[in-house]
Parts: sequence; C-alpha cells; structure tokens
Amino acid sequence: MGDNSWNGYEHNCFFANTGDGQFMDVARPTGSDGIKDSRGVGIADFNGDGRLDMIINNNNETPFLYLNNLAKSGNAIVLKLVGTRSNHDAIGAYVRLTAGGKTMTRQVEAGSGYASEAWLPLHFGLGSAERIDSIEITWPSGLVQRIEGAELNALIGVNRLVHIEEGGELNEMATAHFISRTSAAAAERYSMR
Amino acid sequence: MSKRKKRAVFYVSPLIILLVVFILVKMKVNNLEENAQQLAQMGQAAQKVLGAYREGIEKFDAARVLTVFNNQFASERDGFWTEELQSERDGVRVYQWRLDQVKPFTKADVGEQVSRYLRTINTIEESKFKLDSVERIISPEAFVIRSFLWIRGTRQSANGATPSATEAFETQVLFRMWLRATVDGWKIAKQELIHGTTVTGDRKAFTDLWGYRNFKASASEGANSSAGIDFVSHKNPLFFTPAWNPSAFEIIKYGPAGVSAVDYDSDGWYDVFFADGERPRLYRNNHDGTFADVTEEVGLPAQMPGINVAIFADFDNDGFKDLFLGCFTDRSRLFKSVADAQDASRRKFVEVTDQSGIVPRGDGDFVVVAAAADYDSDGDLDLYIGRYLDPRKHLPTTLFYTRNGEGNSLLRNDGQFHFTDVTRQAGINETGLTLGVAWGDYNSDGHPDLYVANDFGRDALLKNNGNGTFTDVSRETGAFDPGYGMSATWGDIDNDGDLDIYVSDVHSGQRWYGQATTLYKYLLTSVRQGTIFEDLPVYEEIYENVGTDWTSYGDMVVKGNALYLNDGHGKFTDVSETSRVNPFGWFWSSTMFDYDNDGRQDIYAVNGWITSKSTQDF
Repeated sequence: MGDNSWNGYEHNCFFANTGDGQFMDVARPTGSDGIKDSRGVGIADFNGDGRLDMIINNNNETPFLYLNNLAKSGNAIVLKLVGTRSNHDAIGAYVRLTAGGKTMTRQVEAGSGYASEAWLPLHFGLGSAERIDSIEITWPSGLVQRIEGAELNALIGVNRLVHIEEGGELNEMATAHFISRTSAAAAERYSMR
Repeated sequence: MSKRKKRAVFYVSPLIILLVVFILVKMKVNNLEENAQQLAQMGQAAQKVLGAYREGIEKFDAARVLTVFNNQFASERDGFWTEELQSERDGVRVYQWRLDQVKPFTKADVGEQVSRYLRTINTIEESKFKLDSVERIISPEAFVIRSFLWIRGTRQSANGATPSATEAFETQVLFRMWLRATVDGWKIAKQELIHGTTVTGDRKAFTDLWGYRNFKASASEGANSSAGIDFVSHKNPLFFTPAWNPSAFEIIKYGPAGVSAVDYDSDGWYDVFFADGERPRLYRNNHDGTFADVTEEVGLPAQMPGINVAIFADFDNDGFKDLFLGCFTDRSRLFKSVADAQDASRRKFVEVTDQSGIVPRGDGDFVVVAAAADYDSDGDLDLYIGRYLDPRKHLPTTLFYTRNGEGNSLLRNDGQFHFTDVTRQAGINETGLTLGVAWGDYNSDGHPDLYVANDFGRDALLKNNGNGTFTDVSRETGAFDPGYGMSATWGDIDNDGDLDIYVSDVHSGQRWYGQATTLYKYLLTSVRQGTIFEDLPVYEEIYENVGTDWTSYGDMVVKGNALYLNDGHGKFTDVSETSRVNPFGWFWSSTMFDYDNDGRQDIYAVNGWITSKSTQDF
C-alpha cells in the first residue's frame, strides 16, 4: 500500500428522494460531502429541533458531526414507543402514519448499515401538513394500535415528540414540543425542548 | 469381432470420448479467455480516451478534447448541452440536461458543444471520466461504451442578486460512445447523451461542527473538537503485533470505525459512542449544545482494542440500554446498565460477559457488525452478529462469491443476561464475509426477517418462518445481490407501506475490465489456493444463477449499490440503475432518513476506502 490510495478521496453521497422514483445526489450543495474514509453513520436529532443530524466515524481520522441547519424544512413529528408486553424500546415495531395525503412507514431498529446504530424514536417529515390523520402501530407483541380522530387531534400536534405506551392511553404529559423553526431564533435552537 | 478387438474398443472408446470432451472444454475456455482479453484491451483503450478527454476539460481546452474525436465523427442526432431547472428548494437547485438545436453533428459541432459548456464554469475542483461498461463489441476495430463524466467546481450563482457571486456545482453525465480504431489510436466516432444532471447550492444545509465549541454554529471557531467530541479513530494496535499481523489479508486494518447514536442514560438527549480499533469512546450530550467524554466515568475500560461495533439495547427490559461490543481480535463483550451507586440519576456499565454464554470463535471473535431484534417474539431482544474472516490465515476464496468467513451467529436471549447460540437450529448457515446485518419485517407477518450483506459477493435475505427457523429467500424474492456488500438498511422509500432494502456495494467498471477476469482465471485461483473442491458448490450455485454467462455475472458483481423495491407481496424489484443510487465508488454505511422533512426517506451513503498521501489509485 505505502502512500497509495485505493478508492480514496471519494465524497459521501446524499441521495435526495424526488418522489418520482428517482434520486439526486445533493451531498455537495448541502455541504454533507465529506471526503474522509467514512465508515459508520449514526442518525439522531442531537439538539431537539426536529431535524435529523448525523454523526460519522471516519477511519484513522476525526469524525463528522453534521448539524442539520436546513432553514425551510417542513413540519415533523417524532414518536418514541414504549413497549409493555413487547420489549421495552419496541425494537421491531412498525408505524404507519398518514398525513398530508401520504402514508409513511417506519420501523424501530437497533443496529443497521455498517456497524452503526441510529436513534430509536421514529421521525416523520410532514412537509406543510399541519395535522395528522392517523397512526397505526404494529407492536412486536402483535398488538395493532390505531390512533385517529378526536383523540389524535386533541393531543398530537405537529412539531412534537410524543411518547406512546403499548396499548396505553395518550396523555398530554407524554408530549413535548420541539422547536418551531418559524418562531425561534436560530441561536437558541439547541436549548429548546 | 475378435475378443481382443472387443477389449480394445472397450478400453479405447471412453478414452476417445474423454479426449474429445477435454478438447471441447479447452476450446471453450480458450474462447472465453480470448473474449475476456479482447474486452480488457478495449476497456483499457476506452479509459485512455476518457482520460485525455478529461484533461481537456480540466484545462478548459476544447481543442484538446477534440484530439480524442475521429475526424470522420458523425452523430445523426446530437445538440448543444443546456440545463433545464427541475426543482429549486432549500437552497438546492437541480437541473436536467437537454439537447438544444438538435441536428446531425460533426467534429466541429462537438468542439462548439464543449466550448459552450466550458464557458458556464468558473473553476473546476475535481473531475473524473470513468468507463461505466463496454456495452457491445462490433468488430475488433469498433466497440460501444457507456462513460460517466463527473465535474465539481464553482460557477456564477443563479440567484441573480449579485452578478459576481459564485456557487458550488456538481455535474454528472452518462454518455454512450462509439470507439473506432484509427492509425492514431482509438477515437470517438459517435456519441449520445444518455442523461445528465447538475446540482447547485450554498452548502449550508449541514454544518460540519469540527472546530466549533457548541451547536451554535456561528460561535467560537478554532476548537479542537466537534462541540466537545474530540475523538480520533485509531487502527487496532494488535494488527501491528506478530500474533495478529493480518499477513494474509492486510487491508482489514482499514475497516473499523463503527458508531452509535444512543440515549444511554434515558434522559431524552442523544449521546454518541464510537467503536474503535484502540480506544472506544462514549460522549454524553450535556443538553447545552456540547458533549463530554464519559467513557471511564460510566465504567467502560479506557482501552479496548478491536471493538468494531456497539449495539445498545435493553436486553433485560428495565428501561435502560445495555451494551454489546463486537470485537475482532478478542472476545466480544456484554455490559449491563445499572444505576450509579453514588448518584442514582447516572448510569454505569457493569461487564457480564463471563456469565453471558457468549463465547469467541477462537483467540479472536472476528465480529464486525451486529443488530438486535426479538426474532422469537418472546418479549426480549436477541442478537445477530456478523463475522469476517481470520486475516492471518485466509484470503477471500474466489473474490466474487466468498464463503470462507468465520460464520455469523444468532444469539437467543434466555433472560438474566444469558444467551444461547441457536444459529444451527435456526437453519442459518451464513459464512460470507459479513459487513452488514439488518432486521426488517419485509412481509409484514410480525416476525422480523434478516438481510445479510457480504463482502466479496452474494448477500442473503433470510425469512423468519415464525417457528425459530429461517429460510434463505434471496433468489425467489428477487433480492439476490451478487455485489461486494458493505452494508444494508431497510426503509419504506416509496411510501407504499412496506419495507424496501438499500444495499451498499462497490461500483467499479474499470477494475473489472482492467483485470481481464475470466472463468478460467477464477478456477485457476481456486486451484492455486487449494480450495477448488470446497469451491465447487459455489461454482455450481453461480451456474444456477446465471448459467455460463460469466461476463454478465462479473458486471453484476461490480454494478454498485442496490435498491430493491418491495411490491408488498414478497417480491423485490432492483431499481438501482433507473433510480440512480449506484454511482461509482466504494461505499460503507448507508442509512435512510428524511433530512428535509418532506415525508420521503432520503439515502445517505458514505464512500471511500483508503485515502493516503498519493491521490493516485493503488
């Protein structure tokens, strides 16, 4: 090997989903095109602002902590599932959430990618949608929990992190707002919760 | 016929048949060998042409570009390259390439085409022109290729606010080119634009926090950390000792660097753990926009060589995540999360490896990846761990369908931090060089299934039968990926209610043609390595998959990252090519998430193998 590179000096790629079956690599225009020899990637909202950040371990180098600053991103809702009959963190649960004419499916995972683990809460981007139509949770125990109608609208707004207990009632204590980007100063983002 | 004659026929005729078969096989092999050599020579010639083209672009010299075009160049239908704005959002503009003033093109027109394009660029930072594939050999003097041009630089901003402002751009173009042998070497005789895109932007969506003291990305530059994360990844020091010198497979040294985003203390704020060759680290999120190293404070050893992956999972369902550390050069370790005796609000990790039933493969454990799920639906989390090979003893056999890994394990959680290796009774026999494992319920039957990505070829989708056993359904579901699997991730990419799979691989057209890889040479490698008899079932499996068309199998192996769309009825369709998620490169982790909150999962995939001083490739 010596000083030779082997597929070195390669940029990371960010394939933005255009929604019509195609993807555009936006790593360069978004500033997430690091050139180090990246290996593992961990996703989480580290500053609780409703936008997902990245931590990347780079072989033989310092890591990338990419803070998501996207100025005009849409609304979001984040669900943290708590298992009672299922395992406590509800690993393996999947949620189908309908809002703004889309049904999105997310599953709770502990480990994926290459030697990587992401955060457990399920993040749903909502675009300009201001309300959620329904949430259907299939718990690892087999229980299917459906939340919709008045209960949903009374307790779950957008731009919140919501704890949902397996088979349990929703209650207001289980929700916390995260930042609404239109109203808060950028400098205070990280302290909001 | 005399008895003697009869006996002679009895002995001689099988010999004649054998001889004929031998000659036919030899002819077939020679034929394959010749084809592959021709392919390799043409591939190399094409690379030379593209290299010269790229030099012309980098020097803004259209005349120089024209030197690789045939004087008799003639395209029936070509045009000047223009860009049509496709989308503009969050500071990112996406343009599709279109042809303007379409007409038959001569060499002079190509000169004008390239000149016009070059005038839109201010600076070029990087460019590449790669051979994607040799599509067709027309004759020994003519063949058709697909080629990929890639330019990064700056150009005048489309904002229009300040005329002198520039912005970052990246252009990616796929061409079809007809190459013809001339007295001056190979020249482009005709070309076609297949597709081209340009993206531009202000590079402000993500801030790399290295150098910043906290998340307020406007303050306090010059820190030797990312908001307090002062981690540096290290190679495993044991690889430099005689006992662990990876003499057979040296490049293993460059593999490690796993990472976990984890809320280890359940305070609602996400912390970070770095797996490492020498010093794994845990950083606690201080809630104020900074992190602090708490590795030793939580009871983890200051030094732990060979840790490649960390899985934080609540194995005893007490509300706090425990920790599995997968190790390459030593045994893997299990830690239980307990309350700190001094301060009940803080967590500590206590090692429980000895009682766990988790035993290493030998003097090391060769673990690279792991993932937890409740595969038997009994309410607690089990663990699947993926292993590589022993780099002191083994090279990957065959290089494209390698099955000489140390073998993966399914560990069933029995409770009380005890695990039983149930791999065999679960019917799993995965001995590839595993670099990715991901649990996902692809058929929505409530039982988590497993995708295993293997380096040097042949991934597997293992269906959970719901009775403690698994069945390899890679081929029948259409999720069979023959590539150099580096990671796998599940997600509903098309919002149709089921989980799709993205697998990262290696995409390298040039390497394939450059090596003149042939069936014959593979077989020779097997013979040389003394593994021909163990490899025979592998050759048989490949034959079942693709028949005797080894060139197309070779193409599949290096075609790069793969996206398989789930149709909701247990079948997957490979859309890697049409969805454009398989660029050239050597990818590692890949992950799906929605970075812009538009309700669609995007894919981040990291790329790059070994960057060293020289920019020249090995």
